[in-house]
Amino acid sequence: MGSKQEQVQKTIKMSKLLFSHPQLILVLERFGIKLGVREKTIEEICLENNISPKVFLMVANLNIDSSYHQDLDFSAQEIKQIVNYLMKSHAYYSAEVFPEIIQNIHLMSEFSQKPEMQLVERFFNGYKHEVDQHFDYENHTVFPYILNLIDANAAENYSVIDYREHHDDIQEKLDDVKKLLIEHLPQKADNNLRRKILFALFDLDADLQTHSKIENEILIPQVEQFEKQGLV
Amino acid sequence: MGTRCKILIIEPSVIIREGIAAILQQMKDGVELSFADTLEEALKFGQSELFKIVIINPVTLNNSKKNLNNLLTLYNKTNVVGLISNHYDRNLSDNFADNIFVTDRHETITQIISKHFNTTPAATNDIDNTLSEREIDVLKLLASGKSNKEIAEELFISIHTVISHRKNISNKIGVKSTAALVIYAVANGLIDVDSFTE
Repeated sequence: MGSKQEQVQKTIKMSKLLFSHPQLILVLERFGIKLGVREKTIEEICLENNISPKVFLMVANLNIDSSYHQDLDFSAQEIKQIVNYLMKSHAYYSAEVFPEIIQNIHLMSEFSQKPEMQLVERFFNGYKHEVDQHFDYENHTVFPYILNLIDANAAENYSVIDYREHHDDIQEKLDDVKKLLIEHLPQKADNNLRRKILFALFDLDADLQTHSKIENEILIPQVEQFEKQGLV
Repeated sequence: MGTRCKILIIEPSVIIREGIAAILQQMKDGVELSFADTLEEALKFGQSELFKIVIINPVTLNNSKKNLNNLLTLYNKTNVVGLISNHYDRNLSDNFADNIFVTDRHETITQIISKHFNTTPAATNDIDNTLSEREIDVLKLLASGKSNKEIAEELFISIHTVISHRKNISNKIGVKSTAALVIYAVANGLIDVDSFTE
């Protein structure tokens, strides 16, 4: 038998982990961990940076294998670290990923002079707007609520259950753009732009999938548990 | 193989779940059953290689092609058998390795399951994704900004039929949002850019 992917353990060297899974460099950045990890283990690096190794391993393992399952036994402080991680991810998408994709889609649209490409540009801008609203809602309503619940132990007239309902699938439109660019829209000479856009979209998609998994499978259920049973 | 055949049953109805379990447990080859009410719960079992066969009620896919694709990707080394107790979009059930109908006889069910004890799934079958003429009519009107109701009136069909066409169009083209369907229509010359309004 044996599973497809070995789970990452806290006793292995951080550098070894990063060489096998370079996408985790981004995860380190979001946890505020600086590179130059020398010979240290994951556990040592996490403790130096005041990050719970359990939280780090959960995020790393979910990034590597999306079917990874983690039991819900995070403490309030660990949940704060997770919220912080998610906020940093939002900032990364808004400040780096989206502007670049939008810029390239704009160039592609100008270059091709095709009406459908102008529509793709409009479509993606609309998608970006939706995602912004979604992040805004999380940054300004959900996350402050969770942090306040933890710090002040104060449940308000709000519950993460409302959040769950608000949490619609923002990935569907991303899939649509990928499908259009790969399958349906004939390519002229825009190859390097389109390739750049697609690579960025696939990266974004993979990252967003882990992101929503952390929200849906860890954050929401764990906070729901706090709401019901008090803090751990 | 020697070991017992591991089967995961994803079915929300306890009656159907227990019923199919009872039938499978009477088979002479030993089976080891696991159960889930929902797709989410099924995913908690994690690694796909765990199961030789997954029996799933398509209702747990919420009629979503995306869920179906996720399922088939996750269980790409597993025989996925539909458990059909209602009317579903054929696009969902046609993609399974086999289907058990709730009206099937005892022997039929055990035959279907035995067949999959020792086989591995064939490569994903190619579905014909060409739009029918009627679907093109619907897509044109949809892309020109007409509502389901207006399309129904114009084509003398029921709204229900329009919705069903829409679903099939989406499944064939592989995009969900109306805006993306419009882009497809423009790119394929089905409508003029000037003919649709903002």
